[in-house]
Amino acid sequence: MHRGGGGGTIRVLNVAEKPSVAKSVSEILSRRSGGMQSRPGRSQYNRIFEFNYTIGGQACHMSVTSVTGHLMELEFEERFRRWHSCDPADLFQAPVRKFVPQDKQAIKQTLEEESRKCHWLVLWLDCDREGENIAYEVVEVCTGANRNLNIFRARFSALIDREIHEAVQHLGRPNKLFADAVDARQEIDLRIGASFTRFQTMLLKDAFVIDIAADDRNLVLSYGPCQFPTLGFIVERFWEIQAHEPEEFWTINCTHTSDEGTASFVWIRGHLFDYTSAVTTYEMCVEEPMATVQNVRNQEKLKYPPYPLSTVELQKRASRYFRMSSEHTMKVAEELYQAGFISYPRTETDSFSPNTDLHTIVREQMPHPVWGEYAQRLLNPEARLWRNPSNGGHDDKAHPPIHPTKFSAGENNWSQDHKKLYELIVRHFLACCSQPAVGAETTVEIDIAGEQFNASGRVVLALLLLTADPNEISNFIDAKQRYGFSCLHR
Amino acid sequence: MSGRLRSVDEFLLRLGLHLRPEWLESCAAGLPGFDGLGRAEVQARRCFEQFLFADMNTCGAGVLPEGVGNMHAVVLDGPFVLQVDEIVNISAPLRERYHEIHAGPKRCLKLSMTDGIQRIFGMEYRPIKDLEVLAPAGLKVNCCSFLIFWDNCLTFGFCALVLCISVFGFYLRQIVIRNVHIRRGLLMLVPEVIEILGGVVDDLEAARDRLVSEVNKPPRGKRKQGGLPLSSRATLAAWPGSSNVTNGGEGIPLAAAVNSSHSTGLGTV
Repeated sequence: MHRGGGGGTIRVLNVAEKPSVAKSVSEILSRRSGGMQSRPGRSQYNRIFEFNYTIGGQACHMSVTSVTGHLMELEFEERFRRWHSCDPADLFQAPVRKFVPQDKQAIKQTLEEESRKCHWLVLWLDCDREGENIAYEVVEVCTGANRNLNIFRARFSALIDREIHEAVQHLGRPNKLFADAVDARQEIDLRIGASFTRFQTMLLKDAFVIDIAADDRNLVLSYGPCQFPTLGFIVERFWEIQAHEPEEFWTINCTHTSDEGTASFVWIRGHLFDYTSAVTTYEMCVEEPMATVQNVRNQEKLKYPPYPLSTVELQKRASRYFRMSSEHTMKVAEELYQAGFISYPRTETDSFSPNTDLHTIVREQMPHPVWGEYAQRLLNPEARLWRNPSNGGHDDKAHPPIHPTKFSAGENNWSQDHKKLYELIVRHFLACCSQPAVGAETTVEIDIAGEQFNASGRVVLALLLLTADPNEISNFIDAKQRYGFSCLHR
Repeated sequence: MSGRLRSVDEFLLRLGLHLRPEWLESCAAGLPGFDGLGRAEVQARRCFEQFLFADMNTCGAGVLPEGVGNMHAVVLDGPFVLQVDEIVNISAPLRERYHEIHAGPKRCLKLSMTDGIQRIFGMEYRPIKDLEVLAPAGLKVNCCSFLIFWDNCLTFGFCALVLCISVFGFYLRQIVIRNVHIRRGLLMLVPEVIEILGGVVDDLEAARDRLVSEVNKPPRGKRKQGGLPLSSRATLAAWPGSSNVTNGGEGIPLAAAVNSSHSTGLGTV
């Protein structure tokens, strides 16, 4: 870290992605040095927090403010904005530019004013490509007001003390390539979206009668390169469902009752859509109803622990267990992250890096009344329950898999959804550090008049990780019982 | 029937094939150098090759016992040469019924067959590897034979004339030993009793292609369906201009009966 200017305190402008992150970062960094002050900026929602701090031995005066997502928008130059100004195909070549829209002017002003007073700019935007892109927008605005700013990038995955202090003591530089990638994506979306929207609206304007109260002239058939194909999938599925015609089919049920219970056997053919054939086969079974046991197999079945948790897996499980939509899941997860309870929830990574301190994370969960005991057993070498998490094969090199970063027995301001999601993340983490659950599956094959029927049942021998993840138990155990076949003839 | 053809006809009858005299006449007339071929079985072979590509609905004279559609729990003496007009997979719902799938527990084929006079259905009781879901429409099969149909005849035929007939006669007796079960008018087909002879009927094949492409079309909304169920739309595609779109068995012109009653695999016997 160089000293900027000659000796003395350096003034540092820190910019985060949203007001809540600015507040969290300020609280964490100012805790030891006696707290922080806050004052309003030009924008109502983006306050400025001030406190003193030391970076690499250098005394700093920190001003922390925020933006609210993207600061700039991409648009065509003025002369191409009107719909009939050109052929839609021309939009693939028309010049585009980035500019700060009306509703973000206040934030721009704040950044310009604060930049003039500071020596360093530290970017605290989220650590993904979009964040990097916003970082460069901030850089553009700030260097517009102060060409001499020394620009740094702070990288962190969780809003917890350890990570934030680490991030600020090991500042890096922003990555232009990531920002450029997002720019490219934005430009592609703009050109394709605008040109096709204009094109298909003008083409199909009079082709359909659409019952919307709006003025005909304002009817727009919009196109997005991601949205439209997705709409296609939905419509295709709708048509499939609509076109479904029920058909009659027939099957043969076979059960065997003994003292130990009743077993249901499944016909190996499944079912037949032809009445004559089904009845003929059934008659042959009824004429010779003696069942001969062909095979009895006993197999150990293992239920392996899940891979460490990534975003898509989190959304799937929250949807499956709690019927939470993906959007809602991510909103709740963001809130848990900003309050420091879980790591950054937008990640593709499903393997832990080798120097992650997994034991500490487990230890933090020991005080919990419900799963604390399991956490204890995991850490007990005599229980032999521990197993290093497996590797799912994905690593976005930006964030670790989603895991709990702070213990909580439930906060007062948590809704049911917050509680459920936090519990899901903790349980998933504990499960992925556990040995597999073990069950035994018995399969029986019988033959009646040449037709084959099968039955199978499972018993759980070692619950283990399933106690960590009760949602998975019903998937693992069948309703059928395991039982003996000594009564049937060979 | 003219004398020269009588021995050809008898030869084919022994192999389970009964053809209408007028068809045999016109076939012989149409084959250049027919009379010069000499022996009956050589002439019979030439006629047989033509027969593979003819429609048995018009050229077959019937070889199955009368009232076969009402027989139950009997064993039929073979051999019978039959034409398979249509094959459907009754283990699958309509939209998957014409997807090719290997023989196995998840496939059960139902065959609609004719000997020219009577229609009879067969069920793939045990997996028959040589049968495909999309086998050519109008395929000829031989029931109750488990030996290779012609090749043995020729192999022995060129050695010695006398030996050929007696040896082949010996094989015929072995063929007759293995017979096909019929229950409720449905032939219970197993690999041991059925042999694929080959052949195709172009008209039937074209109609079947039209039917399959209609069934396999991805759904595209109610307007395109025109208010008819898929099975009816498929039949109409197969036989455009046919007004007999019902589930029936007898009494409907054969061409329409092939698809209208069996395109859903729910043929009644």
